[in-house]
Amino acid sequence: MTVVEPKVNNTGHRVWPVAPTDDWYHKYYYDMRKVTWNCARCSVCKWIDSWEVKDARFAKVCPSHHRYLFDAYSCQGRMDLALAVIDGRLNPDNAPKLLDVIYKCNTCGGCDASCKRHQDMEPLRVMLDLRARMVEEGALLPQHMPVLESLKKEDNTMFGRKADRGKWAEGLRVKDATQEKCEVVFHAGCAVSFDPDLWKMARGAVDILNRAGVDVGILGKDETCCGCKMFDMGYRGEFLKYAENNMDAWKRAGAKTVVTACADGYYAIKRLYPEIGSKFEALHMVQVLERLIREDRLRLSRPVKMKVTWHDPCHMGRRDNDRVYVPGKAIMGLYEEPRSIIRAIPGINFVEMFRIKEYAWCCGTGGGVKEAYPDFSLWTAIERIKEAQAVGAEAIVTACPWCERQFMDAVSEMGVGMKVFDIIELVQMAI
Amino acid sequence: MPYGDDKHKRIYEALVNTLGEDYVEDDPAVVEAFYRDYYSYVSMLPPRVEFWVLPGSTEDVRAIYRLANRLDFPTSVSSTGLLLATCSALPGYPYWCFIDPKRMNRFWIDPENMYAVTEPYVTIAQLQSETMKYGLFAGVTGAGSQGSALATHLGANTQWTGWRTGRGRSLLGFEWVLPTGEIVRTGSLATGKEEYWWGEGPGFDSHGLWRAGALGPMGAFGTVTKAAVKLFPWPGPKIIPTEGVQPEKKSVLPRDTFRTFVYSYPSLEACVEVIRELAIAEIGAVASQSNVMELLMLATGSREEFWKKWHEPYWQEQIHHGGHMVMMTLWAYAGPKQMAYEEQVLKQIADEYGGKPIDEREMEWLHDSLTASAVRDTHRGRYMRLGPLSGTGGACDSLYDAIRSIKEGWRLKKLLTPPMGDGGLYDMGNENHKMWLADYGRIVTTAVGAFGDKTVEFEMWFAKNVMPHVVKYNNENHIFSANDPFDASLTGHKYANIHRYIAAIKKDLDPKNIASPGRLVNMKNMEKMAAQQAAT
Amino acid sequence: MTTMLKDELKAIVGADNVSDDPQVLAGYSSDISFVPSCRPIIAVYPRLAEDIRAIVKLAIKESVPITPRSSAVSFYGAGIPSEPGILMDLRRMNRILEIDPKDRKVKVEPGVTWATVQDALEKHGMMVASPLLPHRDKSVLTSTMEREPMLIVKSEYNENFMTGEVVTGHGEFFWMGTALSKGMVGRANPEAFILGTKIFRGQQGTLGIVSWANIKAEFLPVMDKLYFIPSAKVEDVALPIYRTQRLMLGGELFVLNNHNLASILSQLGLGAFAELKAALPAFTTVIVFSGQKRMPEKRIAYEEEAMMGLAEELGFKPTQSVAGINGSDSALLKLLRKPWPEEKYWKFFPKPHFCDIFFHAPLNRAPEFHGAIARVAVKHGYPVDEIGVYLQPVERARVAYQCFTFHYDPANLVEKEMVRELFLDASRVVVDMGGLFTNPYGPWADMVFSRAAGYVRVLRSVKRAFDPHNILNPGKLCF
Repeated sequence: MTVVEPKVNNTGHRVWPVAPTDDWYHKYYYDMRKVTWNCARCSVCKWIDSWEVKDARFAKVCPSHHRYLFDAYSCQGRMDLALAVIDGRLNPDNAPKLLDVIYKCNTCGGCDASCKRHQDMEPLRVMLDLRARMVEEGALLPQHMPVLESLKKEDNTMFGRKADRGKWAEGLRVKDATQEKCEVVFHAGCAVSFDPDLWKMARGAVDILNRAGVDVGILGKDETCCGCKMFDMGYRGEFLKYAENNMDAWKRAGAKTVVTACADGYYAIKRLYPEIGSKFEALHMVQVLERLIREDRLRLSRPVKMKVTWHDPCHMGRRDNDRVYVPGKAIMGLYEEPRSIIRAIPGINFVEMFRIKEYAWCCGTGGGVKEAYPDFSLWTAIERIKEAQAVGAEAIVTACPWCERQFMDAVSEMGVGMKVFDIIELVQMAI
Repeated sequence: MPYGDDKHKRIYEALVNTLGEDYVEDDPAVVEAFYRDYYSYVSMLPPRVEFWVLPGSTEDVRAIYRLANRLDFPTSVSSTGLLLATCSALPGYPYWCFIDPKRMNRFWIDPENMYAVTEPYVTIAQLQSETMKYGLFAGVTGAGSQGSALATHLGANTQWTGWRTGRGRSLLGFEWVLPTGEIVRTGSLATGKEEYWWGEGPGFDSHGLWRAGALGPMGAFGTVTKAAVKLFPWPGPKIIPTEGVQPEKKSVLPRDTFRTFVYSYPSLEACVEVIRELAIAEIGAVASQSNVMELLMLATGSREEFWKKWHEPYWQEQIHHGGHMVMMTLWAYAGPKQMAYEEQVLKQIADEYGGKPIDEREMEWLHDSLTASAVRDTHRGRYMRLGPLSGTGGACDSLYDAIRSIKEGWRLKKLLTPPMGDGGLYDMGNENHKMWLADYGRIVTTAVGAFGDKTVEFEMWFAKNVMPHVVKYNNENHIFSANDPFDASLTGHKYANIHRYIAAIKKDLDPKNIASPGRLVNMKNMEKMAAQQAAT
Repeated sequence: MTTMLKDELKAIVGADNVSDDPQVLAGYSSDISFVPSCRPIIAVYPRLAEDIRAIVKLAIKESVPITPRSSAVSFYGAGIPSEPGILMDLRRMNRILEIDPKDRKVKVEPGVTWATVQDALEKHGMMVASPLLPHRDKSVLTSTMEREPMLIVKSEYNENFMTGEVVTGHGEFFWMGTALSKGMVGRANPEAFILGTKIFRGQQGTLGIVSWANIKAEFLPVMDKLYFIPSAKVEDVALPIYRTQRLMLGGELFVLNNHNLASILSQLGLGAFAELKAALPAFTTVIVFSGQKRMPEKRIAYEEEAMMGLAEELGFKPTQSVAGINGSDSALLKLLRKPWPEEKYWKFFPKPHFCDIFFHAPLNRAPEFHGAIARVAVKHGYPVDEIGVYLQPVERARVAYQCFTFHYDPANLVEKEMVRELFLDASRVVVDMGGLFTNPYGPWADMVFSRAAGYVRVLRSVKRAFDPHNILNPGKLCF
């Protein structure tokens, strides 16, 4: 057993060292097994913070656990599972549902935010590393195969043709970053590029950037997936391939900054790419909009009389944090920027949902869930629309095409009249 | 476990036919999530449960019990699963089926008559979020507000606000499925009316089978499927105010209605006298005898922050001088004049007994965390940040008995030091004692302990080296510890043969011993003892 | 058999503590209730716990049932045997074993009465929180074991039975709560472990015979202020009570109708019954604000102010006197922490006998029950305005104990029979409406337990564990 020797301080009391100083994170905190061992089954990971519970119907934070109910489908359950895998007790052969349990998770990080209230732990990281381990060991979820195929053939996760990727920008006045230098590259992302319903959001983004005089370019059909989904699904090799490809393209364009209107893309560029040497500044459009409004470079003068609520996308919310967690540091994300934008719109009636910011309920698309478990994915989005209805909102606003598509599908499935907007669209209504 | 044998398959099929495929699991990946809690070394120990089922109603629970009787398999039940060790499978009992009431999550409130009826999977936080809209409050226990409101009201129910509302006192009428599958309704429900407002009787009170002990009967008498719990007046806002983002989140309750005071006293005995005076004065809504560790733990957001504060000269000074603290939160139900009055009384008492208020700046830093924590928090989870709490002492009797119990806890800690306590892993000082106060200090649950490292080595060491001392002391001195034993057959002979009474009731209510076998009283042991007695 | 039994009992307790005198036995065979009479074979008066144990062992050996009783007074039939057997009268076990101001409790034997205990505790500035004017000779232990509601509505005062010692139907000692744990010193926690003390509350001597008990003792307030809140009808009673209790105001709090309050005040010499009754409002809520030793006037002041704020909001009018009687507040206050002072119990007025129907139900249903019982009274020809009504909010008015009193002259057989029929009829109505007889005395037992098959199952299971020979008060409850 480890016994740490104390020192005597100047008041004559024995003092134990607080934490090792060299490589403190990995040696002291992030040992995968240590994290799983430290799980004490307090079950807090299944719920939003207790102080934040305002309505009993909307108190859960984990879509997976809420849907499937067995504790295995919660963060706590996956800690148990991870420990069992690490200790060799379980594998896909002796536990047929192992991969199912691992992958029926949006990797939204809600559990991680809840856990950090109490423990200096990284349960989300464990779950992501567990996926990577499964992939490394060749235990692949069959439902992922089509997505991997699509990536391999067409460099996107949407089963679209690579050649069609730039169509969203047809007719748009914007630099071709493959041909011209530009300071800023706008990264549209897979979700937008292959979903015509969402093109208006990307076009709106470019329009706003142009109006603001930003030297912006796009890669068009040469743009490739940011790799975020692949990372979250555990395919780190694939992620690396696309990350490096993107970084090369941006470098060739001479860009220093990448702007996107997709939360996944933002997260990847901001948080994952630096780990492989990226020096690009990553901005989400909400940051750009907030700054433009604040500096009075974008005037919102047309009233928009609507009762709206804001959905915090996970990847620009609670997941938008240093990968190396500093215990005790707030799990910040881009929470205030979009709120500030909405409040600046004249005539708007802004209501918050019950689960917001670091406790926002996921839209259901993350972690490969949309691809592998579409029913569960849609169910998750429907739960969020119910929450929006419960606060009386006419419209749900967000800033991620994945979330938007989900909510549009959910609204259609429910047959209700809730409108779904990207924040860019809302801003455009007010210009 | 005989996974996959014919009996296993038969049971599985029967459960699926009864509950539906979506609500029955036997896959090892799924049942793996159900075997451990506080102490992780049990991960190395078999067995696991074999079946995990999700009933959606009282009738489903009934059906499961009937199947268990017919096909002869053991069951156990837990709501939010905070204390799994009490419900997980035991060696020697194959085909273990865990009943998980997660689908049973309905509740309703009678605001005028101040009670709520809840099914098992409603957390205290959920319940409170709704009761507060009516100006009512459901107390939270040390397990935390993510625990089941129903389950925490069975057994000890040691609430922060138990200063006024008592310990184990807040359960009213409830519906209960016996292990035979029969349904029992208690109190005002007994005569067939859907009336939950009264829990006692008719006649003598079945609460004595449930609302007692640290953990209640741990499922040994069946499953409670609906229960009414008492609610109490709440003078605060309808929604708990919050600011900031986790783990820097704060909750600032209005200080004209909620104020917390912490005084440090020269000795444990002084603390006890102060508590008694506070009780006679009948002030405060939350009161507990606290310590530096707890105060800092509730207010800090990380281990680093905790240890940094711990080593600050001011707090080291408090520890050095014993850290005998009494914390009280005043709730001004009747308005600001009540607050002013109670504050004056508190200060008067503190002065009389040599109490020193915590440094103003430190108190300002602590205030909101302590105040809001007692209202709604996830305490057990928070304690775990620093490692498992490793106790050497604990009992639950009167205020003056607490002195005996705490001093004994210190003695044992010193005996086992190093590596616990001084010179050991984490120096908590000698003073780390806590008293949960209930019923105006008439009932006190004590705890003495330190945090250990959450490693298998420490946990094994603790189990092998510390617990036997605690058990030995309790046995030699005829003391039931606050956490009563899981199996009365082992110690009941020291306590008026209580195991025989429990076993007789258990045998009657659960003739085939399918409900949490081995818990409360091990019927196999009882049978062996009876056979031995008959032979002699 | 009786002679042999008598001899064996004498050997245990001494000749002075055994009686087969027919007059004595006749005294035990009935009370003012309508429970059928049954004469015991013999009466025994144990002095020590060991006596009780020996008697129980004897009873097991001889297969003779025991009916224990602690109280000289019996109004509801609980002390009447259901089968002829040993009547164990515990009144001679009447010692106060310990007064513990530190842990705020008093340890009593079963024969300790309200008069004895309150007098003894008063010397220490303490009391046991009292029910409404209990009979001076009633056993305190009986009151607490039978969950008699107390006047003080605070949650913190409830559950006043702590721990105790009991002789089970095995003839063995058993202890409740932390009394089971000899190494603990307080003996204060009733819920220390399964099986909790609650098992024994309301048992009516069917599981065990209590030989001593720890009961909560509270400190007497040093200052009080009593208010009367008049209500013209029962429908107006609940709201002020609910609202004051949301603010956690007051200590003693109870409601009497004009009949009951006039009865009490007139017997205290504060006026003539009929005039008082006419002058009093239909219902009067009594609320007492009290302060302990530290700045009691300030405490009373803020509580009073809070109540006045509610009064203004809700339109009720608290006063410090009632029916124009000066000093009615102090006269009543004197009574609230002591038993009824007179020889003749207050309920034996205006007629020699009374019959109570008491049950628990939510306070906001009091009008419903009041109406229903009134209709039954009318049906049987009992004057509605001669019903005594007492409502006792419990635990901050979470629920209310509701007591309806009917008076009659036992010499008037027609009247007696009318009241008996009324009692049975009204009781059935109460059960049908969801009122709960938490202590199902006499005919209530069958009314309640015939509808509570599941609960009976559990009760019988516990009964078999504690009294396998069924010698403890057989025929009571559902046994």
